[in-house]
Amino acid sequence: MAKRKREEQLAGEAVADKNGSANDHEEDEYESDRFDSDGGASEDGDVEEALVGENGDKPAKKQHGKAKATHLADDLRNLQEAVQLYKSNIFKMEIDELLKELKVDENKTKSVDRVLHKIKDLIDQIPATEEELLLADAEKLIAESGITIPFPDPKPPKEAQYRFSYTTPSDFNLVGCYALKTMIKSPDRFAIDVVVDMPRALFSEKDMLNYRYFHKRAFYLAYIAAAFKESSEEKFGLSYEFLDGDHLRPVLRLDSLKDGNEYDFHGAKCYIRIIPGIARDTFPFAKLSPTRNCVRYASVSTQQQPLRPTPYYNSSILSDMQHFENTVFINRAIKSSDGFRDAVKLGDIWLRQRGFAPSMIGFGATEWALLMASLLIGGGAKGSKILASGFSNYQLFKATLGYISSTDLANAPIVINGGSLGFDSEVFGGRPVLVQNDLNLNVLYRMSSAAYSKLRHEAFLTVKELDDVNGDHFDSVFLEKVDSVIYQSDLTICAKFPTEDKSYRDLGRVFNPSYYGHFCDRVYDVLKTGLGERAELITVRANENQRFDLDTRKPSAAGESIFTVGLVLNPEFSQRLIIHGPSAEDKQASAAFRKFWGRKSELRRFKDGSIIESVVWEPHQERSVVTQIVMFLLERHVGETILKGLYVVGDGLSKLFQQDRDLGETIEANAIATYQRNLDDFDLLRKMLIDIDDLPLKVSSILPASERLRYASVRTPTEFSVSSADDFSNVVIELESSAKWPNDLKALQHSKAAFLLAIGQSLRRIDPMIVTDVGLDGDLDRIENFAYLSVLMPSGFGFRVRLHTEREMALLRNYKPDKDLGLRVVRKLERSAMLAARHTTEFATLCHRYPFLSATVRRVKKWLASHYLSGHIDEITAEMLTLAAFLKPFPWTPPASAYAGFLRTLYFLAQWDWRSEPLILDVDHSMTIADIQSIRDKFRLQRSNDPEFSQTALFIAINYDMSGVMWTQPNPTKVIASRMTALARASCEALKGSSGSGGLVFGGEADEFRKLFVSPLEDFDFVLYLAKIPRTENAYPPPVESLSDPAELYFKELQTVFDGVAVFFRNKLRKDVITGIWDPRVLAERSWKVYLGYSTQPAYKSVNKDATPTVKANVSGMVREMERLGGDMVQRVAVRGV
Amino acid sequence: MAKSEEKKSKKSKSTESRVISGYYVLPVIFPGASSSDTDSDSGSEDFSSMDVEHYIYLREHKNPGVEGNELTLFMANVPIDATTLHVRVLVAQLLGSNADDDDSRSDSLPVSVTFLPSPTGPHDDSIPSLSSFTGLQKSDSASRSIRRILPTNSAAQVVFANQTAFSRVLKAIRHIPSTPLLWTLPSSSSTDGATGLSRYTAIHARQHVPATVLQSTLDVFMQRFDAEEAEREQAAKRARSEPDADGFITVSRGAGAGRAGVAMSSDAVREVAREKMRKKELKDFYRYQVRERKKEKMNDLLRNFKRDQERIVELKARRKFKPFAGTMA
Repeated sequence: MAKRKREEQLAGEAVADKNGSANDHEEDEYESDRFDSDGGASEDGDVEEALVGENGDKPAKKQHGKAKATHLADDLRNLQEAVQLYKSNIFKMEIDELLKELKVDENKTKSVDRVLHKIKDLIDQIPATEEELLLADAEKLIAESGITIPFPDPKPPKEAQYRFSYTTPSDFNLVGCYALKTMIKSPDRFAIDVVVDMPRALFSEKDMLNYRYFHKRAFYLAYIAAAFKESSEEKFGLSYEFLDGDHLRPVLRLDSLKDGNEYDFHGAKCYIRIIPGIARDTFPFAKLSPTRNCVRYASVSTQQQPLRPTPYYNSSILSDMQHFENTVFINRAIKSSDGFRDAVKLGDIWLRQRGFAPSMIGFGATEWALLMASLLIGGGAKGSKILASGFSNYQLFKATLGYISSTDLANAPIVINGGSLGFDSEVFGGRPVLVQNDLNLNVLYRMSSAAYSKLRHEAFLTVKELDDVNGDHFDSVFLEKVDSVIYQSDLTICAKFPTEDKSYRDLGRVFNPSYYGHFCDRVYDVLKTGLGERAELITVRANENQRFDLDTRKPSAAGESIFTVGLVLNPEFSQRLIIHGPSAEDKQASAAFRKFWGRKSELRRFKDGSIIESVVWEPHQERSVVTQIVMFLLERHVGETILKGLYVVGDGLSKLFQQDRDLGETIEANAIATYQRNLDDFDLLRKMLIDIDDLPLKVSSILPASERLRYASVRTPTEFSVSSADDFSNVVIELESSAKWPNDLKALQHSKAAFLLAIGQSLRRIDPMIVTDVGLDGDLDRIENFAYLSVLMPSGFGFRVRLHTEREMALLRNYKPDKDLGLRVVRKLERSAMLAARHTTEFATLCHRYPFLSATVRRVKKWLASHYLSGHIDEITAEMLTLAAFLKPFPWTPPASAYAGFLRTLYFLAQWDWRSEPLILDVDHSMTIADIQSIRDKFRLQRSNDPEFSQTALFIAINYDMSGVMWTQPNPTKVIASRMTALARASCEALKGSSGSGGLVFGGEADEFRKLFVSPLEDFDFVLYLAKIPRTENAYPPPVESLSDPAELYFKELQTVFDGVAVFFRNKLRKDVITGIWDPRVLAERSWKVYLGYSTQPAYKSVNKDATPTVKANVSGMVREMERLGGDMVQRVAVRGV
Repeated sequence: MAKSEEKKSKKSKSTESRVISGYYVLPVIFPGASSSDTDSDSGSEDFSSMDVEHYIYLREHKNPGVEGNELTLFMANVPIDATTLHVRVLVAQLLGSNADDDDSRSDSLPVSVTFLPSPTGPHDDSIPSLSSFTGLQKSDSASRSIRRILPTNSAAQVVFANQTAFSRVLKAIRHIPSTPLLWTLPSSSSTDGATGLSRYTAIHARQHVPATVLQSTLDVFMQRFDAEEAEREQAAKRARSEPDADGFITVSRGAGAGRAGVAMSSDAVREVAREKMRKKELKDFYRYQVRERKKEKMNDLLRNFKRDQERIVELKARRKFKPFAGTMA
């Protein structure tokens, strides 16, 4: 038996991985994700053998004895199983911890059991109605208790002749998650469902028709509610609620009052729902088949058309027969499969974190459990099982997700019992169809196609994430709330519901009893058709009230008037300007296309000679193509009024970027073109350098090593605008190898400078319009002196060429006078030359793979600069931080708009716990598990050696630097990293918007977002305001050698002089201020010594001669020193507290 | 600011200087910019126009056994922009003479000042020295002098010419001076290249010397280097052929050594050899190999398990498993 189970589990993992069928895979050899394992049950014997061997080999273990050995062997076997059944041990352990956390404390639910008994007693005591009542009398009777009958729309007609009555329920059942013990602890509280079956005698067969069943049901419910209100007014919070979003079926909701009365069950974190149901023999099933019509309207029947089916309506009635059966069905699954109950909980938490509530999308934990139970007995090809009962909870969870993501239940409906579908699934109009019992009831009847596509999208992402063995994705699968529309969507548009929708007449209502649900579906259909492959996911959501007071018939519409369209875009298509329609020859399709697009549609002839209907969009300064399409479609298909009050979420932020002169070109397409011109010029320079033949050595390689050559500079490159070092693109060249380089460091460096001078001359010989200059980083006497050649091309771009030689690196590594200095310089050179070149190539490639990476990184850098962080977080680090949102997009897709990319990066920065998590970036999926493991080991080692983060704060490993610290040591420091996190958190907080906007940022004006880019200067201990340095506007070309950047030199000198005393900040883009904060260590009073490291003054209280005199930092004295150093460059100074 | 009160009390009567760890504390004023210099239009006093105090710590330099140290004053915590001239002006003020005509009593002023950059501070001095360049013309902008800036909290040794002056200074520092001392230069001295824009322009110019200057500097260096190299080679050659004191000739590597291309490191060589070996080896051929491998795998498993367990404990400590806690959005 145990063996059989194990086989199933092993096969299950294969299923979870391959989404195949359990039956087919039982004999498959299993390959574990993480460890090279032979798998299969046959290995058990070997395991023990290996262990015995171990015991024999190691004398230390001999004394443990045989018993211990078998015990250990058991442990090991469990271990190995865990590795195989879960992705890894850690994943299993994490799941175990999570489940512990979700467990509802049974002690706390004891009070509920008592309350449930009381409720049953109460209901049993409710007297039957004395007579059968007509509508008016029924309403009057209920009104006496001060409540209203929650009749669904349409209300019973005034002249209705059928009668309402109440008799004691024929059955009373506890159903749902509480009965099944599958509930989880959550802030929403879980529901305890009590079904009271309405006696059969209350209904006649005709009551199936024209809402009569629902009207009688509503009366029945109101009658109970009235009785509760009379008898227990003080004991519960009473309200109506739609049952899982079904507007036809309200239920009575009982919340605990937190007053300690005998009915108080507040501690149980739940509420109770009283659900009227019916016995299965109340109505004939066949007449409630989805293809049958149960709602007849005079207006419809006069026309000579066949009656339209009413699937939603019919399913709704059928569902009321099914409450108890569903619970039994799930319970059977729980009995047969050990992991089932926990898998339901995992599913529940997964759904909740994605914002899937049954009321929102018609799919919740119950539907999840029904689906899973169904898949245990069928669901695959030819009725084969998808899940095996021996699966672990994780396998059940993952395989179910795999099933959701790979099977389209809308086009390929599933009947679980193996029978054939008793109806045409078309009647559900694109909704998923899953039939699991003899009722022909579609369990997913409430799920719109929009909701279903979202569910599948999420399932697909999670499966993909779980298949990615290289990361620990536990957090984003289970722990993070990921349904925030602003982070999930690339474009979010909000608009007001129109007060009236002409398409929502009687029949529309029958198909979807919720007006908002109906409207959202319609918008979804229009956008789906109009956007096509531009959008990967379209969500249209509204916040609909599900609960309402007993004295109202239905929820008030207040606060629901806004709906949100969230789009996840496909960056490959989203930017296209033309929509290709059908060929002109296809008359029918053309007509439909024209009808859909209206005046926008035009017949066009394309280069290949085809004449087709098409729609053409213009690139727009402020509105993306997709925004234009959405607005057009809403206007055309919903009505002009929709544009009033419509806004694009975060529009103000986009506008802000548009106005931002720091960014240079702000239209994405143009920006890329500008970079391209710079790159073309680089190619030109490359050719020239290769062509140089009047030097002793040929130039062998020319590598780009600049943010301007990888689409990542904040400001787009501009021709003929070379005014500072930032306007030059760094280039690294190598010469063909030669044995003639001197073996002395200084001599080598001098030769290099001479070579650069010669290269400059050669270039000028090739094109006299070229301007060159050789500059030095520092004194020729120092080993950190590096020469570079500045080249100004006639086409207007500047380059800074550095010569890289392996010989120099080798000499520096063995620099005898100061080994540390030598190694430091080597590191610096590696960073600025070969690694920067490698990074430039990789990043440029990534910018092509992710069309919005460039736009995002420029905005992120702008944000960092605005907060004065750019002096500490260098450009490559900033780029890697941005890459996180693209390379590790889980639980979302890679951003497909600059706006989404920017927000997602802020979100990442706010969430990243860099103290205990490394950032591992795998640019091309080439890292192996061993690589990842070794990076993690390095990280752990680094952290244990440096627990205070004094050397390294951020640990970022990427394929070409697995050390993780190449770019983040020694900067940014812990202080800066913490500041970055704090600022990102503050920015995310600001983006949440004011309360009442439902957690959404309003479209807003640019000004509202400006605060994201402002670091209050009051945060700093001192601020040096710099005077504007007059810039002499030279004719082009400017004298390259005189393009100085005094502010930068001043900043660097301050850093050197006050190293360890103060941290300085500046905005690289503005150069208007230099700010600083004191190292907290210098502010403490301490005893004096000659070299304390900072300027001091005697501390006051120590005037008393007995005490040891102490000193403290002379804060204003030091700021004055800075001011004196800056001289005429400093215009004004502000010191905190002075 | 609290210091202004202190200033007033000083003026009323001569107070004894504060002494900290044997050092006399000497307050020095960084004068604020006169209001005409700052373009602050409001009446409120801003930081730039305030006088700010700096504290220098002084005592007789005690370093017995070293000659010439008797007349040395040790000055701790000198301002970052200190120059010999600054110190001379300061001493002149201390002795009660006019700062501007330092010639009159020059014999009482320090003869030399040696600055000792703070050892806790950076050694980085990124200003290229003039001597680096040969053929630099007076007219070249790079030839402008650039003041050396000290790291904060540096010290200085101030040497006096005669005992009288030295004693007077030692006496003077025992009391807080009645008129506050200013940290300043004689108005006549040039401050070009000292601070501000002119300083950084000069530094920039030093990093961008004219191509001709750079070329000749490099040429001179390389000529000298080649000459020295040749000489060293000659010497080595001679050493190789001449017997040493014991009459032996040391066998050494030839002249070509060190000029060879970068050879493969020994690690790399070993790696290649190991790779070859690995290819030859048969896997799972012997039973013991299978057993070893299994055992290794088990150990791996155990080790990983241990590590995972530690991680879980750590994650738990960070309250990681609360799915509904601290979520954003």
